[in-house]
Amino acid sequence: MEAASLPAALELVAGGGAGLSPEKRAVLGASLLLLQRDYRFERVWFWGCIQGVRGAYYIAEGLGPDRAAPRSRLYSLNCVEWSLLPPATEEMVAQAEQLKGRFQGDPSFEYEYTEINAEDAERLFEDGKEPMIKEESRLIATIEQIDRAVGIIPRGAFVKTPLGSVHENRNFEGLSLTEAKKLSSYFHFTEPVNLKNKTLLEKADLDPSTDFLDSLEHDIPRGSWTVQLEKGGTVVVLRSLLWLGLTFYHVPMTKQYGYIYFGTGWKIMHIYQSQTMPRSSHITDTEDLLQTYLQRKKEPSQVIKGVNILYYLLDPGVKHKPGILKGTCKTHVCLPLPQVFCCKLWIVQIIYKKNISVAPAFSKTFCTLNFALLNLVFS
Amino acid sequence: MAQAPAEPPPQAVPREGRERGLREHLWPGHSPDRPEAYTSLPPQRQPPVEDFEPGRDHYQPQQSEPGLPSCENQGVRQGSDQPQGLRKSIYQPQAPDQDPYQAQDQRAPRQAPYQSQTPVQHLYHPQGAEQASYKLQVPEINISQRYAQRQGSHQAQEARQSMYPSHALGLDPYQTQEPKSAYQTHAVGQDPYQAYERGHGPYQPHEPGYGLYQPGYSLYDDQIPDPKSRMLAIQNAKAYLLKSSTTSGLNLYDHLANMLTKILDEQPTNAVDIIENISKDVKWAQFQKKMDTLRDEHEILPTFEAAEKRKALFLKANGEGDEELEEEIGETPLPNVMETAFYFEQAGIGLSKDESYHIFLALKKLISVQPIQTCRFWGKILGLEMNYIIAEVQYHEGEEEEETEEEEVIEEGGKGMGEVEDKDEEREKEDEPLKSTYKPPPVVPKEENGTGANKYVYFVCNEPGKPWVKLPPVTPAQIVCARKIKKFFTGRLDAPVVSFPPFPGNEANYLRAQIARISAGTQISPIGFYQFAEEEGDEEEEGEGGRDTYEENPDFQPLSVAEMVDSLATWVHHVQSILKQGRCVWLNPFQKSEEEEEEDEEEEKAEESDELQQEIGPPLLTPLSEDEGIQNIPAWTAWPSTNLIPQYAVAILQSNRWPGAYAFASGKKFDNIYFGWGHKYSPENHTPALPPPVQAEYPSGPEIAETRDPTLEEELAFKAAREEALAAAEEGEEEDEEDVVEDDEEEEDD
Repeated sequence: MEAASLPAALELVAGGGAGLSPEKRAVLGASLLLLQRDYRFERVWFWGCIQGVRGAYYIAEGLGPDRAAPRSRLYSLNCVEWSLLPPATEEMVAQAEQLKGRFQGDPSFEYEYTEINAEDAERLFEDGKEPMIKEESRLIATIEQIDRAVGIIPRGAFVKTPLGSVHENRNFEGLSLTEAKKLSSYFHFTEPVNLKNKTLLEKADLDPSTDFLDSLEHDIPRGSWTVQLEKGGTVVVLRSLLWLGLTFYHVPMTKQYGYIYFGTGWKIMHIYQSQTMPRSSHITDTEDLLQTYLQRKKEPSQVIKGVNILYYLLDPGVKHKPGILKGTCKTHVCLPLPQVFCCKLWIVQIIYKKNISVAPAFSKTFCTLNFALLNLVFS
Repeated sequence: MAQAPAEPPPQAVPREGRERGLREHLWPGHSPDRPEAYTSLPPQRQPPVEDFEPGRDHYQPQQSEPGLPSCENQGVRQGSDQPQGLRKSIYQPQAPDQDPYQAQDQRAPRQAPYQSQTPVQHLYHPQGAEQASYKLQVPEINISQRYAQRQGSHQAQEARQSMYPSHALGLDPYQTQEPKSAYQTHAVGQDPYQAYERGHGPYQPHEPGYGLYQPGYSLYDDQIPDPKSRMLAIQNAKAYLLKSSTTSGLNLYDHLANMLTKILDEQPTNAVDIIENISKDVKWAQFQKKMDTLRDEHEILPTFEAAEKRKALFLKANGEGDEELEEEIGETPLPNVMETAFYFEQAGIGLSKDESYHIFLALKKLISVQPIQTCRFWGKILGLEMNYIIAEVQYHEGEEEEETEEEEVIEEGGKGMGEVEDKDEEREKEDEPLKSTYKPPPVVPKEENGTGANKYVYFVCNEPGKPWVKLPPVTPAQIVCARKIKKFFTGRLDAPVVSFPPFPGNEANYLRAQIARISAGTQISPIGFYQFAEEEGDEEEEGEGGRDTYEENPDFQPLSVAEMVDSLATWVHHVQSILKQGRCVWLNPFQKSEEEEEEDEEEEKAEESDELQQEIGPPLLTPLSEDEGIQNIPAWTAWPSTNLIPQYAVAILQSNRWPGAYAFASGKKFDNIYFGWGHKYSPENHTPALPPPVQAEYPSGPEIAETRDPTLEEELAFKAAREEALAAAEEGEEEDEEDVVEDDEEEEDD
């Protein structure tokens, strides 16, 4: 969020319980201004903080004339002295993704690779580098990931000029309340990915000067955002469930908006578990669910390709409804688990197209495969 | 002059209101003398004059637009060729008239160096200086001149044409107004100008159209030979501009007028840079109005409702204040939420002040309604749709029992449901001859209210001002299951918890279970603040589960902040930890069943010896230094709220096991709070438990397996053997051998 509007903005995002102490607020008011002067930024954003076990990193971003250009990032441990971070590289991001656990709070801390692929290891040893990752580069990668995944702005807040640069839209007067509640009114403030894949029909209604970014509407996984009205319905607050701690606020019909991150720098991967079961347990719904799952998940689809899935819908009160996703196999298998009754859907078996296997399917692989699907369907 | 009115513009529509507004913007700043004359103009207007009004009005924006910011406009004019082409097209029909003016084009460059000044002002110093009035022409000539310079000679002609509208427009008002008193000065002012013009260039007599010059004719008449054709051109141009678009219904003329009005109203800096945006804005505003009337009521409603609710918080406090004050002066269970919030704010933790105060008022309301002995703001759990604000209370001892009775009724209802299910099962069993041998493990009974995990009662509400809802007591099964799942709260207490393994209850139960877990893990106090009661007699009896009561230490000596931060041993848990069983005090779940069902005793004893070992958790008031971290991450992080002013720092503890749980201590004051999603930290991403292994269908063994039918050969062999045997039966010795053969065969079949 804009450094200039920081004090007011912190009040608006305080609903999550995280904020800055009076000391930090006061010091940021001074040091961010100096940053702007020293690095000749046009704008300075206070990005947020990543909490480590023994300390926290405070992060600021500096913007140049083109707002969509890569931003300079700086971090500080005490909000007084700031150090410039080098730009993130793809390699850094890939390495950091393998790291687990909390940040330590010491930029020179070195992580050891927990898992090294054989190829990676060879390459690393050839290079003569030790397989270590400094916390600083993990910090860079994490900020990059967060900005890429959940750094958002309201629609129309920035415009793309015919020359390609992006500026604040001086005519932006805020979203209306109805618009502000929709995910489609918010954009990822990063290089668009899905925009190119849109069909001509979908692009027809887009305004090239404002709709030059991806909207949140089709984010994967679905349901990774919560939209709430806070402070008596005067502020729209979006929280990411993927990166817990990222809060975006916007006061409808005003220019006030921004996002801030107060978290541990840890991405939540079990989000699908949090989705609620579709209300109607109609078979077509389930099929849709499974179909989308099969299409979405890349790895399991290699296994699942060319198989039929026989499943039962179990509803207390409703008789078992067997269904088959693809193909026409009609082999029934007894339901062995008493717990099954509580779940609405149970995929009983995955049957390969050619040889219909019955009992042997209850192998361990079946169970795990089965389970992969369950993850989606139950929850 | 007299001829012009005779040709009323066929398409021109006078737009008085808007243009008058525009005119008022245009004039006041530039000529203090004029506004009176001009503003009084409309009433004076006479029918023939009105025909000219479009032209005259048009003159003003045209004249002032290039005239005022003339320097800046150069860029625009030069940069865009479009207007030029546009005008040319308008003037095509008049082509023959233009020829004479080529000569003027050539003259234009010479006039270039003239300072650009506001034409109007010069108009009003008619006698002041001849040169000044000459400059009057400059803005327009400059424009045409630039075109001329920039472009080839054939293009210069176009440029000349582009000059026409402004000239023509400029002329009209003066023509019409000349006879009028208000414009007398005006007319006077033109005389010297014309005189000057006439004597200026040596080529002047050769100029075409020279003969048209009449003294006192008008300001620009040296360039305008034929008012008739000019008027036609103006009218055509205006008619074109007034053409409304087929798609939007707007016309350019109104749009330009609106834009200029807006620009002059708001006076933005660098207006030329943002002219596109202004244009867009003006169009946008036109739609905005309509939408407003439709949406206003609908949109703002939720905000008002919320405000109404918050207002109620303040109102009730005022209304009941007088009566309550007297009672509460002595001792109130109401916690000082604002004070706690202040200490947490020192570490950057906490809600906004408004929200804290609303919670403060909401807690007060809760206390006034419920018979509450102690009350505390426990924290806030974030949800997908709404959030939970949680209050931790203890009832007065007498009142509590009433509450428990109610709960038991509810529980019985729950059991009733179970019985119905049992009956269903029984019916099914009637049909099925086989009886399942599966026995569910005995249900671990929940802890009594006021003890263990149910020591406190929790009230939740979504927002301060909304009604408080009491959460049901937690059962061990819920705690055990809650440990295996990880789900976001929705904010609706009645929402089902869809998970694997299935959670016994709805979201209210899950919330209660998580509160119990978080409390047990993160409720801490400085060492020495609480102490065990001195009755030592009970100790032996309760030795199994540890003592579960404590009292405040009256002699508590607070530690310094530095000590509190340095060592985790200075903090202790004051809430019992929950055992694996889901209870704080271990209970043997098989005890009851032994009494009830003696038949099963033997089996159970066998199981007991294997499984049931008493679970022992850490005793109450265990220092935090005993807490286990998760994979190299310590359970707690401690820091002082500030390093700059250590004298007044507050010791802050942050739980790493439950991100969002904090505690502070400052002197004798301490408190715990939780703000978060209700999830425990896990270094790996959460993976739900795998379903249990698939049950085997039946045990395979010789007694179950079907025997293979003997083949013909075997049968024959068997018969042969039989015969042999019969034959041998006579001889008693061979009997044993036969048996051996038969046995072999059976084994083969298996």
